Parts: sequence; C-alpha cells; structure tokens
Amino acid sequence: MFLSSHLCPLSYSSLSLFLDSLSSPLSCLALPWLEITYETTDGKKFTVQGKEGDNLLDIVINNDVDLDGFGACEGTLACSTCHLIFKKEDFDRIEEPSTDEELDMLDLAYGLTDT
Amino acid sequence: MLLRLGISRWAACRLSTSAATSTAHVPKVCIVGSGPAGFYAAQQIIKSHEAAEVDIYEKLPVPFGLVRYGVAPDHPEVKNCINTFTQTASKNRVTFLGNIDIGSDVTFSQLRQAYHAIILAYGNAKDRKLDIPGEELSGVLSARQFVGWYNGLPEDADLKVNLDVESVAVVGQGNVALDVARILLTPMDMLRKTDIPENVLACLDKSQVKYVTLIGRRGPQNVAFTIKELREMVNLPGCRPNLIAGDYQHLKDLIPSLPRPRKRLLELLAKTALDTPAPALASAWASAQKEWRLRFLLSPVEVLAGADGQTVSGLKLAHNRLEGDGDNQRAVQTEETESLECGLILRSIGYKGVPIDSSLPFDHRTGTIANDNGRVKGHNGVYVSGWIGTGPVGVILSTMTSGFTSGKMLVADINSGQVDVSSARGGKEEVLDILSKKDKKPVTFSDWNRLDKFETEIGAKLGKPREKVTNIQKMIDISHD
Repeated sequence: MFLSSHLCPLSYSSLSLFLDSLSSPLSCLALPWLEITYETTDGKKFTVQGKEGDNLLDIVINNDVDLDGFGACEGTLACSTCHLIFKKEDFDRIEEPSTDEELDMLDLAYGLTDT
Repeated sequence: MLLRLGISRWAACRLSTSAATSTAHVPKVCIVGSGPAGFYAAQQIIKSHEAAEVDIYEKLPVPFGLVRYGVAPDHPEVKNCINTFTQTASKNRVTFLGNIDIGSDVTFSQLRQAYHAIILAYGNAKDRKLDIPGEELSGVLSARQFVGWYNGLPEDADLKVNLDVESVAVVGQGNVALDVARILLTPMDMLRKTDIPENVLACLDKSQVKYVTLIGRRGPQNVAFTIKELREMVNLPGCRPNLIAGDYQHLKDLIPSLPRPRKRLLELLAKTALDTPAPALASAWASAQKEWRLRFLLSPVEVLAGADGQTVSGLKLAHNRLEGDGDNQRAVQTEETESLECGLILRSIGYKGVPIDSSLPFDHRTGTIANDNGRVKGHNGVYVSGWIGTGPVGVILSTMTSGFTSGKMLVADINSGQVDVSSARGGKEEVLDILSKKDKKPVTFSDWNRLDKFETEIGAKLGKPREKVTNIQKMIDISHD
C-alpha cells in the first residue's frame, strides 16, 4: 500500500477511517501491523509500520520518519501543519463529515483544496 | 497543485552537508530570541547541518517567547509546540542562554565577532499607537500590555487595569483584538482552568465588564481576525453578539467570488449578523449577560476624559468612507463623528519590531529589518526569522515556515561558502567571557526546567497547568537554585 503524503492528519476521525479502509484487504490475513510508505516530493521514500487505528502523525513520530515541518500542535486540531489531501473518490468514502472547527483550521493550511 | 509547489520548495532546500565543511571549522551560529521563530530556525539548522552549533540567546530568563507570553491562555493546545522546542534545546549542539539582553549585555557587533552567522528572531516588542489626544490617560492600554498582563509577562505583571467599568472599546479587529475581548468576556470557571496568574484572575473575577466593542477603520470584508477566533466568540457561553444588520447586507453579494478562507469567514460573520440562530444558540444568546459588538468604518480621533480628567469616559470616533477596491480599499475620514461610551480602551492596531543595532537596515515604517527572503540586506551571514522580518502576521504555521526557510538558507550559505567558516570563532565561550566580566550569569535550559517544575507544581495545586512566576529576580533565583 502506498501513501503519497508528506503530511499528516488534521483529524483523528477521518484518519482512522482512512486507515480502516486501507487495512480491510489485509485484515482478512489477520495482520495486526500495516506497512505505510511516506514519500516526499523530492522522491525519498520511508516505509514504516503502524497498527490499525494509529494515526499518520503518531506513526511518523514513533518511527522517527524524516519529514519536515509537522505536528506543531501534536494532533490537537489547533494548527494545520499536518493535513491530508485525498483523491476525490477516497474523500467521498469518508462517512464522517468534517466539523466546522476542522474546516476553520484547514482554511489556514498551505495548498488548501476541497478534498 | 499549490501544496506540491509548497513542499517542493521546502524539499529542494534540504541540503546535505557538503564535504567542504569537514576541513573547515565547526560553524557557530547564534539565534537572538527563543520564541517559535528562533526555535524552528534552530531545529532546521541542527537537522540540515551535521556539525553546526547553535546558541539561542533570550532576554528573559525563560524560553519560548510568545508561545508562553502571547498565545491565549485558553488555547493551551497551541502551546504544544513547546515539547518540540524542548527536544531541540536538549540536543548537544544547542545551547539556551536566557537572561541575556542583546544590545546591552552583549552588543550585536560582539556577536558578529563570536559567530559565523546570526539569526535575528526577536519578534515585535512594541505596538503601534493611535497618536490621538488623551491616549496617555490611565484607561488607555495597549492590547499587547493587556495580553502580557494576563499571560504573566514580567514587564506587564503589575499593570494597573481598571475593570470596574461596564464598557470596553478595543481598537482593531485582528486576532489579538478578539483574544483580549474573549478573555474579558469568558466565564470565570473557564478562565480558572488556564495559566492566567492568580492576581489577574482575582481582578477578572471582580470585573464589571459587560460590553466589548471592537472598532475597525474599514468594513466587515476587511477584518483581520481568523475564523477560529470568530467562531469562539459566536459560541462563547454567557455572551451574545450584537451586530448591526445593515453593516453586513452587502457581504451576500461579495461572498460567492471570494477564495475559501475569506468566504467561510465572511459567511460566518454574515450568518451571525443576519440569520436567525439555531434554537440552542438562540436561547443561549437570549439569556446572556454580556455582549460583544463589532463597529466598522470608524477611526478614533480623541479619548474623552471623565470629570476627574484622569479616567476615560469615552472614545470619539470619526466616520470613514472607503475608497478603492479589493485589498487596496482604504478608509478616508469624514467630518462626521460619534462618541462611544467606555471606561477602558485597548489599542490593538498591530505590533512592531525595534532595532537591536544601528548598523542593521531597519525599516521604521513597517517595524521590520529589511531582508531578502530571510537574508538581511547588506549583512552577509545575518538572517531574520519570524515577525522581525515579516511583521506581525500569520499563525504559528507561518512562523514555522519562516524559521525553516531561514535555517535552510543559512545552511545553504555555509555549504556554498557564502558564509565563511574558514576561521575559528569563539562562540558562546567568547560571549560568556564578556558576560562574566559584567557579573552576568545566563539561565540555561536545565535552569529553566527547574523553574518549569516549580511553576507546574504550584499550578497543579491550583487546578491549572502552571502558575507563572512573574518577577524576574524570583524567576532567576528559582532557576539557579
């Protein structure tokens, strides 16, 4: 599985949903660990492991992944240094709507998109 | 697309250390200021250079600048970046030197001598004045001082704030203006859980303030605050908005064409002013005892004194009309005036930096040091990070980006030879030598840990994150204990 993201989740809720959806083909093999690949825009790849239900920020921190600039507020939804941009079709699969407070923070994010 | 560009710019600047440095001397870098602009720059330098040593100088005996003294006490999660700064400070190649004032204890030129490169990250220490008659009355304070007061900043800890007044005018409509309004209007049981000092809580507890009016010289489309802070005001318990519907009608036509952040902000503003609130909010507003108000197209022209000639009784405001379009819209004063009754005026029309040395290219109009993407003009090896270079704009994310950019720039300049590291520099040893001749002992990071522990222990007993020590000598004594 491949995750082309330099950044981390703004929202725990949407993230765990995201990981859930990623993990479903694996969970039938009863694998508790997931392999996550982070790729930076200069092409560096970091493949690390995380558990189902972890969020991407924790996985970055737990594995000391060498990314620039993330996690200023430590996942408390108080900044937007971490945020994800989904493909439209993945975004549409997230059932839980974004809260106003989450959207408020995203308004300040770099590279803001609708997804 | 924007995101891609943003990241590749960051990524492209990540340079590995060139082989040249192994034959050169260890680059010695100092940073003036230990707020986020300083710490994020330090973090970047340590990360992208394998040998550079970074010394962070701080005027106060405690680190973290505006994260400790500016971020609102009811936004504790924003202060979480302190944990990252603490990690940076614990690295072998990073040294924190608190209680050292650059300009008096050590001069800028002495730092130039002692270090290969300098990052100026000392932020904005002053604020803009209204320059109107009556501004010197005791009931006129700068929001900067007021923020310092409720955050336990030593220089403002004993500020005389008279909250025995019903109505407060805040001049300005940025996030600082909303922060001070919110602190004035938030229920005490919420404030007691924050790290607002006990003496300030006691004063807020006796506050008679019911109405806070935020005054802007332009229209609602020009407000500078961000949506998070506005939404907090809309939902503030025990408090209702009092907005004049007529001020917002034109927004409906303007909103559709705006980019998302501006659009959502003005939508919330227009909705709050014009629409019927949901039942729960409606009943909360109906029972509220306090009010916040926004007024537009007004410029303060005179502070009105009470009968005693000392206290404030009101603020005389000139009506403005707007000229021009879009971002270039400017307010032009008319002859028409009105008076706003108030007993306290907080001016919140912007912070500005001060020069640290006369040799630096300081722009007095903007209160910033002239720089080219972080490089100080005409001073090879001198950089700015954060508000001293950009002016007081943006949230912590902007300062993080500024710190990283300057840090990368500096490392790139070392690697390219632009910053000459061929000769050895004395670094902190040289500076400590200067300081010891003046009997000046810096506060180290482990000293700060002692004070931090002291403050959090007292705070725990009071049911709050910390109780700040606000007296400089006491801070030093506990730190050096």
